[in-house]
Amino acid sequence: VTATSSAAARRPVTGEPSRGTALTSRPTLRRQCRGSVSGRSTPGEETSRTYGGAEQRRVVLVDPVQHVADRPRDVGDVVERDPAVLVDDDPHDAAPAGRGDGQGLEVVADGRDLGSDQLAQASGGGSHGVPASLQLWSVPVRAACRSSLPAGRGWLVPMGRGVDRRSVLLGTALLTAAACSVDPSPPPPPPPPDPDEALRSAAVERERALLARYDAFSATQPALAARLTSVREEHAEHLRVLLGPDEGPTAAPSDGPPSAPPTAEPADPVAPPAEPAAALAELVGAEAVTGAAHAAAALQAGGELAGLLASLAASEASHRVVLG
Amino acid sequence: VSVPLLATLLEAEHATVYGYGVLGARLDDAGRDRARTALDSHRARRDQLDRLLRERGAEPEPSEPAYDVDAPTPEAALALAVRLEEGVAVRWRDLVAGTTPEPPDAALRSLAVAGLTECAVRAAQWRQVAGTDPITVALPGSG
Repeated sequence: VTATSSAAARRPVTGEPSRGTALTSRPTLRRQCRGSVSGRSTPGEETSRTYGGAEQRRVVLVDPVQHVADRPRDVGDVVERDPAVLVDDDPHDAAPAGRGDGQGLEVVADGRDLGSDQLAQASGGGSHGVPASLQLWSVPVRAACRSSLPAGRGWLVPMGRGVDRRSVLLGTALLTAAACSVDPSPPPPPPPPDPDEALRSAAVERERALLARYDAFSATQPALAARLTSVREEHAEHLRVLLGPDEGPTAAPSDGPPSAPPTAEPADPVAPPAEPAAALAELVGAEAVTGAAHAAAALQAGGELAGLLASLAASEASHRVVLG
Repeated sequence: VSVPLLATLLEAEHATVYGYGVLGARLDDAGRDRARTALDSHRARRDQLDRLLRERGAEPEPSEPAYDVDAPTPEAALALAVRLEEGVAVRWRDLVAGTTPEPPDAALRSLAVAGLTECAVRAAQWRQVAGTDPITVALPGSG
C-alpha cells in the first residue's frame, strides 16, 4: 500500500481480508493502448480519477496483490492501483456502444456479497483469496475481445449489468490484450445472399464455358466454323441477357474470345477432336449438359429468372438440331 | 394463380392442334409425318392441361370450332408450323415464370420447362425444313 499526495483521489475499499496468495505478475512497463493504461504506475501518477458525489460507489482498482501486506483490509485502506485498463478519464465520455460486455472486478464499499460460487468463479477458481465484497461489473469490452480471451478463466462471469466504464478489470495483461482489440464499430452483417444470384452466376459460368468451347472448336474446325457461328452467337446472347444491361462490354463477347473465364472449364479443357463428326458430337453433349443444368436451375429460381433459364434450356436443346 | 396461365396455354394448344391438322395436308410425306408427330405431342399436352384445370376446379374451355389459319402452300404451311410452336412456347414460358419452386407449383413448372423445350426443338426442326437461317433463336418463348 502506498500513500501518496493523491491519496484523496483513491478510493477506500471494504472487504474481507484476502486469504491466499495472488500470483499474478504485473507488467513493469507502463503503456497506453487505445485509452487503456497498463503497467506499473509511478508514484504520484494519477492513474484514475473519481467523480461524482458521495453516493457513488467507492471503487478501487483491484490489482493482483503481490505481497500479503498489500491486501486490502479495512475501509480506508488504499490498494495500490496500477494496471487497470479501461479506466475513465472523463466521466462525460459515453461508453462505447456495442453488444459485448466483458466483466471485471470491482471493490465496492457497500459490502454486498456475491455468492461464494461467483466469488470462486471471479477469483479464477477460488485459489486466490478474494474480498467478499468484490463485485463483478460489466466493462465495455467488445465481443470480439472476449472471444480472444483465453477460455477457462472463470472470472469472466456475466452479471447482466449494463456498461459501467468506472469498472475495473482484473488481470492486466489479459485486459490489455482485450482493450487493444476493442473495435468501436463492428462491420454490419453481410446481407443474406440472394439465391437467384447464385443461380444466375452459375448459368453465366455455364454459358462462358460453352462459349470457350465453341471458340476452340471453331478455330480447329474451319469447316464447321460457319455452322457454329450462329450457335455461338446465341450463347453470347444468353450471356448478355444473364448479365443484364449493366455489364456493358464484358457482356458482349461476340467479337473475339470471351474475356477470361477462369472457372469456365469445370473439367480439363479437352482439345477439340480432329474429326468434325466427333467435334459436333462433343458439342451436342456439352449443349445437353448445359441445357439440363439450366433446366434444373429453372426449377429453383424465382419467376423471372426461372423463365429465362427455361428459355436457355430450350435454346440449348434446339441447338442439337443445328449440330445434329 | 396458375389457372389463368393454364387456361391460356390450353387455348394455344387447341389452336395448335387445329393448325397442324390444316398444315399437315400441305406438306410432303416426310413433312406430314413430322406434322403428325407434332400433332400427337400437342394433343397429349392439350389433354394434360385439360386435366390440370379440372384438378384445380376450373372448367376447361373447349376448342373453337375453327381457327383462322391460312396455309395454301407448303411454304406457308411450314411458316405456320413455326409460328404455332413459337406461340405455344411463349405460353409455356409464361407458366414457368408464373409459378414458384415450391409445391404444388413445382410440378407445373417442371411441366412448363419440358413444354417450352419441346416447342423450341420443333420450331427449329420446322425452320430447318423450311430452309430458314438461322434455324434457332436465342431465347425461345420470349415472344
